[in-house]
Amino acid sequence: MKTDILIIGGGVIGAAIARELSRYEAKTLLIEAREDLARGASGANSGIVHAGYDPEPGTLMAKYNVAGCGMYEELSQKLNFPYKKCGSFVLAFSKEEMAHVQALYERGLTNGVPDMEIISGDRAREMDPALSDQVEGALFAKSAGIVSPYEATIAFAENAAVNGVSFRLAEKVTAIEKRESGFLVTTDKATYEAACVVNAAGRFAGEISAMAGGRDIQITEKKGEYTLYDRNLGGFVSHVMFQCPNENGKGILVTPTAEGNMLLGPNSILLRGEERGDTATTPEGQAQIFREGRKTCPQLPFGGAITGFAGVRASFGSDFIIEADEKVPGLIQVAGICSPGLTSAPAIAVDAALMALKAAGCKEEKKKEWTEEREGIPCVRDMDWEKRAELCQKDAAYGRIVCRCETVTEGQIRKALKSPIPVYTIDGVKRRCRAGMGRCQGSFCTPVVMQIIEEESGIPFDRICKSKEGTAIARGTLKGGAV
Amino acid sequence: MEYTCILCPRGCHLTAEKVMEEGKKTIKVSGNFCPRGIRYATEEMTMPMRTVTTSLYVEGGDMKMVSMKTAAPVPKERIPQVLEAAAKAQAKAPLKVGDAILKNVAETGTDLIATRNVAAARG
Amino acid sequence: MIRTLNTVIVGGGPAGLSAAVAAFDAGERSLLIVERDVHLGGILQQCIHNGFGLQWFKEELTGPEYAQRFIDQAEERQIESVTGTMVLEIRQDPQNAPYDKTVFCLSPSEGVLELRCRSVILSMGCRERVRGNLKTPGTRPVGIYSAGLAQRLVNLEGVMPGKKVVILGSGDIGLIMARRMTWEGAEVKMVCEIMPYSAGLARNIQQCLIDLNIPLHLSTTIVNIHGRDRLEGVTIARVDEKRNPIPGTEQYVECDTLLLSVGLLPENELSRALGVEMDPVTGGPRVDENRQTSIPGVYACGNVLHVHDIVDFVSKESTIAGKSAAAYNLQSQSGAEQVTLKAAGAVRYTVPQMASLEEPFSIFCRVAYPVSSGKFLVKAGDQVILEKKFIKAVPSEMEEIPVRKAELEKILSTGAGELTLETCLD
Repeated sequence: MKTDILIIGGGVIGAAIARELSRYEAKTLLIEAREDLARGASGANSGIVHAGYDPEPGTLMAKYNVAGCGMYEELSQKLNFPYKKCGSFVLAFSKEEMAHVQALYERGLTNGVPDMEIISGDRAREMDPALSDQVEGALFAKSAGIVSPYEATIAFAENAAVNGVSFRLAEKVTAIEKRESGFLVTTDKATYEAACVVNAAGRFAGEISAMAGGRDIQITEKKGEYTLYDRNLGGFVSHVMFQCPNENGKGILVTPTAEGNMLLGPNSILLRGEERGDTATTPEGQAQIFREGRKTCPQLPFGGAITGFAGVRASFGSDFIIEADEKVPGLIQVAGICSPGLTSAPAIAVDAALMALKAAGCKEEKKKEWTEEREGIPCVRDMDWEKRAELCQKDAAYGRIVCRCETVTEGQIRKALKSPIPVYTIDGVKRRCRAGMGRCQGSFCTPVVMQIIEEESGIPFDRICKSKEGTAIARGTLKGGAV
Repeated sequence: MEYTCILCPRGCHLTAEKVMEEGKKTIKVSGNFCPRGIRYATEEMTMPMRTVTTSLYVEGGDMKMVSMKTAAPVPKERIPQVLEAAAKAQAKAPLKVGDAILKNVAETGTDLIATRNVAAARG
Repeated sequence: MIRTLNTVIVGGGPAGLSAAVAAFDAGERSLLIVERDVHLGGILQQCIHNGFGLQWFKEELTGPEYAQRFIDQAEERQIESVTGTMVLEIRQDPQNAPYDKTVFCLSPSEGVLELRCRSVILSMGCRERVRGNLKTPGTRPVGIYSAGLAQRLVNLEGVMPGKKVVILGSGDIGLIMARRMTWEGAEVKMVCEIMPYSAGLARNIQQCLIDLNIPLHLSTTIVNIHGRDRLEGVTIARVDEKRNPIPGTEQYVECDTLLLSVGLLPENELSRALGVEMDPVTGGPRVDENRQTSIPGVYACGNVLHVHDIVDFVSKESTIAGKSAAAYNLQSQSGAEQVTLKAAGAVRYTVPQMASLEEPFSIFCRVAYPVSSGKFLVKAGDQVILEKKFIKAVPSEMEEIPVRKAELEKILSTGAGELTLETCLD
């Protein structure tokens, strides 16, 4: 198959670039090694849209962070993914930290961050009563927000797909051959000719660059652990609560999530050698984030956690790499996109798309017809009764609750399975409509979700997987034989 | 011998011993709250009995599986044979609680019966 | 659609069915059971093992048979039910008095169903605790299930979730699944219980573990989970008296399935949103001896109120709730002065937590830890009102302490506003 632009990596960066490219008359293909989008860092992070006072002025991070932050509100409305501009606090617990908060404020001004304010400890507690008495003051950034990182990724990708971008999931790039003009990209399933390759492979960006003969990229991996709390604690804090950054990163945060839970984390553990890619949670990590979270909110409950998880930050040096590779014409590097990568993604995508078009020799010619909006999946939980009744009238399947904890109906699950990039797995359904994401973690709805997947995909019930191939829920039938 | 009675949730801790009473061999049970404990301990010493419960694919039903049990307890040592026979049984909807699915399962003298109503599939 | 009726029963499991039948038998005809599953009967339908009904029906039944008895009773009485329908919200609407409660449901056949009623019986049951509640570290591969999910997969869906099984927690569902999966050809390696005693009934330890030579490791927990995509094994470790893992006792156990049977939580999201007062110990609403919550006309029974050891007690309790709701609809239930009941000593909680003392009633309780040879004392201040002896009392079993007519009078004569249920060891 021949394509103008081939994007490697279906994280938020690849998906956002795919969406930007879908505006243009260029043929674009995205290849993702995992069975679903957002399976790397994009699926396991804090879900914060940072205001932009953290990065050093003049860096790519500073530029794209502030720009990206300003794009999310509109994107979330057009593409229908969970986002809330709830604002963030950077808390100071001492005079020294107040000085630091002041410095962040100044840096924010330099970076062009709007709507910042330094507030007193009392004012902060007034706005969020769960905060510690020890808080002396805070930097309040009103433009910060929370977003569902995987739903945003899926939304970008689906919008791109509707506008003509092709997606290949569960397909791993094994070789990239630079040809006279363009590349021959080999995967475990096919080969592709592409005029331009975009390296958005996250923690595998170094390997992809090496395959293509591009610049040396040594990715550093740092694991961050989280604890996710029941949605009945979703209102425990109403703003993103950062502590002052220290040598270990941005410190432990306590935040509401865009889907209505409360999230605690992350710590930061360097992964070396065999440890790379490790997303196991640890007793030390869970204890650490709880201990440090209690500094922010002394009443932070020990109970009420519904799951723990970890993500891996892939970074390179102290800034993003967003450039046309100097050694290999046609190779666009979008690598080392650690925090604030999620925030920056929509802004990075705008520039990276233009770089890719140029590298592919395509004109910056926009399509006449471009669908700007994504309908997405209706959220029955957040609807009033009138809206619910209306929806049920159109389709009775929206009247049958499958996931009781998150109020997800059969209609939503079927819609997820009929989406532009359908993923017929338990986790795929979960990431798209939240069935199984709640307090019982799928203990009740898993068999029903499997039943619906079977009906929609034709995959037999006993072969339906949690995630990738080989992760079927069933390992056989009863002695009495097949169902 | 010591046993935990399984005949009710109370789970009495039973002690049973073989004794000679009036010149006859008999089993003496203590620790039981009710007379069933005596029966249970006596059986445990001679021939332990268990009710077997399982489930089976049902053809043409409004649900996939029908649950079943042995109508009476069967000898514990015969459980593997009972399970094997149960797995090979065939069930067809409609079924009512108590319907025999397999007569004299594994030669135990006991029937395997349905423990759930299964209506015929609609359409 | 808007409907007006006397009593709405939220949940058609054993509690809801028993309550509906009792309300009908007390003369109430305007009843509706709302059940979220496709069939009535609740979780009993997947509990295909025997051991139910000895107290209530005086014979041994399996879960589905026990459920069917009540489904039949409801059908004989022509009690109306809607299935596949879930209650999402209950509101108090005083302007609609006497039908001052509104129950909002979502159903595939009706869309939005708005039920205005005089009384509501909460009988939503419970859910299982999950790994996240325990903060068990490790990877998150396929192969980790609550025992109840595994039970459904095996008994209702006909699939086996794995071949080599470790079970964490000695709750009854886990024990039952140990036997069930063994009988279906799986190798159940062990059951690990963090406490120094079992959480399940003694009979289940016998017939599900001892009978099948499955080891039960007490004071043992799981400290790590291995395998990126599919579960490959777990690390178990012994724990000290404070339930902290003891370094050096770790042991790797290969398995492809981990079942969690680590406790049940009453499912009270609706009750909390409605605003009924909750008991932090039971996780259910605070009720009086009629099973009325802090909101008049709202009753609770079954596992939504407190987790029961056996379903027969659920039926007993739900019968009280059903009868009381019927009486409430006739406004024949007075709002008498109430005493509160407090748990003390080894007693972890009591249900009810309040009582009007109009009629004889039973106090149900559980102990926090195993105790042997002693008595339960109901006290008003320093005065002992009644005693009930026990040989042993364990956390896995509920205890019933009847308060008779003479004892009621004794309590009333003291004028006490608070009763204490405590243990006294010999």
